[in-house]
Amino acid sequence: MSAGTERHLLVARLRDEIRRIERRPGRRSGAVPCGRPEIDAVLPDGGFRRGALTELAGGPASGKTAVALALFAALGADELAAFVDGAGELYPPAAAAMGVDLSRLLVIRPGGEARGGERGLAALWAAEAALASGAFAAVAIDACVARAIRGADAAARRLQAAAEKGGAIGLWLASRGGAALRVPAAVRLELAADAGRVVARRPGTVPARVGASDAA
Amino acid sequence: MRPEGAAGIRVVALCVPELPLQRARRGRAATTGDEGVRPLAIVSEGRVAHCDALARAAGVRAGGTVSEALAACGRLATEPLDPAADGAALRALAESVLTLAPAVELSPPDVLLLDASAAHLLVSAGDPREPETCLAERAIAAAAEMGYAARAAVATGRAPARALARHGPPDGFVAHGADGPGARGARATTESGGVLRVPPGELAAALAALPLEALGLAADVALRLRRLGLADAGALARLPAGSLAHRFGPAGVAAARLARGEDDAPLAPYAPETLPVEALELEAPAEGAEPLLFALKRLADRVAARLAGRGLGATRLRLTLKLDPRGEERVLVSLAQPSASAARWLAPAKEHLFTLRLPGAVTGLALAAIEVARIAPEQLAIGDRPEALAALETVLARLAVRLGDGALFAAEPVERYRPEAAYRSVPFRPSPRPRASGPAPTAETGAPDAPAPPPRPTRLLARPEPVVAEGEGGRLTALRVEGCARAVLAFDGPERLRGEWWSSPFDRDYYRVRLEALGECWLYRDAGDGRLYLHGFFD
Repeated sequence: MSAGTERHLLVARLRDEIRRIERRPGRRSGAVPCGRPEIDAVLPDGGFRRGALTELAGGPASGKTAVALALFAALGADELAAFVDGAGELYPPAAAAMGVDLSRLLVIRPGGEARGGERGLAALWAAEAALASGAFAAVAIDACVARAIRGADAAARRLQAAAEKGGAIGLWLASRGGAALRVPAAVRLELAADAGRVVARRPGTVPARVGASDAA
Repeated sequence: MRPEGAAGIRVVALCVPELPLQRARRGRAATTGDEGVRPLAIVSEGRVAHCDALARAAGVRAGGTVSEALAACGRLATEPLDPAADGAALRALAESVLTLAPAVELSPPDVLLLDASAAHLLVSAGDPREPETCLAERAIAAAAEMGYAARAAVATGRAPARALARHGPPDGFVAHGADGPGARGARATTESGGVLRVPPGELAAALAALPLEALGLAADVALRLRRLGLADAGALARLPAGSLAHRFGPAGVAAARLARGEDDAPLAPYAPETLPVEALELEAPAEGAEPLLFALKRLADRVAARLAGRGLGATRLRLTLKLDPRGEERVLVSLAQPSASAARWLAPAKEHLFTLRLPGAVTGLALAAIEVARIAPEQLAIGDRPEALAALETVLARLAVRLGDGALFAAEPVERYRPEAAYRSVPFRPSPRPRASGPAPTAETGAPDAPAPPPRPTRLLARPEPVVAEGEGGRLTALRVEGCARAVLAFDGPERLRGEWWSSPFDRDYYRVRLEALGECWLYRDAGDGRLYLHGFFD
C-alpha cells in the first residue's frame, strides 16, 4: 500500500514539475509598486497589477509618463520593459535620469512616414504583440490614436486580454480629450500636476470591476 | 632504429576524402528524396577528377576523359572542379573545429591538422576514453554537422598524421594501442569515418606499410623508386639519409624524412578572417515555406557551427533567396542577443519567411552572418530562461517585420549639448545577465557629491512649437500655447545650452515653466531669432 501512495506522490510531484516547465515564459502574478507613494497608495493592490491594463489619464504635462518610467525603474533586474511611442515624444535621457536601464527598455516608434491613423493602428498592434509575448514585464502605450479611426476601438479592446495572456503590466497613457480613444482598463487613474506635485485619484466611474479577477 | 617522433607533437589529421565530390553533393540538397541517386563526377579540363561509388560501379574512372565517362554511364551528372570553393569549404570546416584544439592548420586539398596536445581537456576525469581518440571523434562529428563524412588519424608529427589520414591505415598494420575489438578491423572503421590512432612508439610500423604514393611523392618519382626495388615507405626509411638527395632532390629527402616519421615542425594555425556564408541550391524550386524552412535549418546549423567554433554569435543574419528564373530577395534578421544557436535563429527567420510575398519559386538559399559579437563561454550554455529569450526573439521579429527595423530601438545616451541629439538609437540587445551592482554607464556614474544633473523633460517635441509671451510691466505673466493663453505660475532657469559651431550652431536658454492647467513645460529662447519655443513636457 505504501508503495502505491509513494507512486501517487511521485506522480503528483512530476505533474507539478511538468506544469512548472510548461508554464508560459512571462507568466507572473502579483503587483509591482512603482515606488512613488502618492501613486501606489491609490492603486487597489498597492502597485500595478501584472496581467492587467491600467489607464493613466491626464494632460500633456500631468506626469503620466514619469509614472510609467518610475515603474520601469522599479522592475526586477532581469525584467524587460517596452514603451510604445505612438507620438514619438519619449525622451530617453529623462528615463535614464530616473534610473531606468536604457538597455532593457525597448522603444517602439511605429512608422515615421505613415499617416496618423495608420500609425496609431500600428501602435495598437505593436502594443498587443508586446503585451501578449510574455517577453516584457511592463508595456507602456502612448498610442496617440483617435477614437474615430476604424478598427482602433476593437484593437484597444484586445489589449486587456493580451496583457493577461503575457502576464505583463499594461499602462495606457491617455490624454484627456473627447476624441481620444478609451480602453477598457482594469484600473483607471487620473493624474494632474498640482503645484509641482502629481496628484492621482481613482475616479468612482470605474465600478467594482477593479477588484475582480478578470476585467476583460 | 632511432627513436622516432620523440620531439614531434601529437596531431589529429582530419581528412575529408574526395572533398570536391562531397561538397558538390552537399550543395545539391535535398528537398526531394532522391538525393544522390544519379552518379556524380567532378570534371576538370575535360577529364574526370573525382567520381563517386555509383559512377565507379558504372565504369567511370578518375583520370579518364569526360566523353569516355559519359559513354560508360549516360546518367552521369558532372560538376566542374572548383578549387577556390573547395578551399573555402576546407576553411569553413576548420572554423567549426577551432574550439576543439589550440591550433588548427589547413592542409589543402582535403586535410585539417589539429594540435592534440590539449586533448585531455576534452575528456572529463574518470572517462575511460582515450583523449586523443575523443578529440578525433569530436572533429569527425563537427564535420558531419557541416555535411561531410570524414576520417581521422592521430599520430606524432604533422606529415605522418596527414599521410595516415589521407591514405587510411596501411594493409596489415594493427594498431596495438587501439582499444577494444575495433583494433583488428581498423581499416574498416576508418573507411566509415573512424579514427586511426597510432601510439607514439608505433609510428614507424604504421608508416612502413604505406605505399610510396602516400608520402606525397610525384607519380614518376614513385615509379623510379619502385624500379629501384623500394616497395613501400618502410624500404625508403631504411635508406641512408644522404643518398637520396642527389638523385631525387628535395622531394626525395622530404619523402624519406616522412617515411622515418621525422616531422617536428609546429602547426601553422589558421585564423579565419571573413564572416561565414553558407549556400544551398534546391533540387526543385520551392513554392511554399516548408521546403524553405527545411533548407534554412540545414544552412543555419552550418553557419552556427562555424560561428560557435570561433566563439562568436550572430546578431544579424542575411538570408538571400534566389528566385526562379532570376532575381533575388534579401531578408535581414536581427537578433536580440548574439547567438550561435541555430534553433534561436529560426524563430525570427520564420516570422520573416512567412510574411514574404515572393514573385517566383525559390531555387537556392544563402545564409550569411553579417554582424557578429563575441559571446562569453557561459552564454554558449543554455541560458537561465531560454523560453523567455525565444519569446523575445519571436516578438521582436514580428514587430520588425510589420513596423520595420528602424521602429524598434533601445536608446543610448550621447554626450551632446543639443537636447534632441543627447541620445541615439541602438539595436535592442538586453544583456542576458542583468547588470551586476557595478557602476551603471548612465546617469549614476558621477561622483556622489557631483551636482544633480539639470532636469530633463520626459517628452520632447519633434518640432519645437513657437509660443508668444504676454506680460505687463516687464514681467512675464502668461504664455500663449497653441492659441490659448496660460498663466505662468512659476519658472526656473535659464540653463544655457549652446555649441556645435562647426556644423549647425545653436544657442538656447532653457526654462522650466509651470503653466496653469498644463503643468511643467520646457521652453527655450532661441538666441538666433529671439523667440520662445515650447520644446517638451515634464509629463
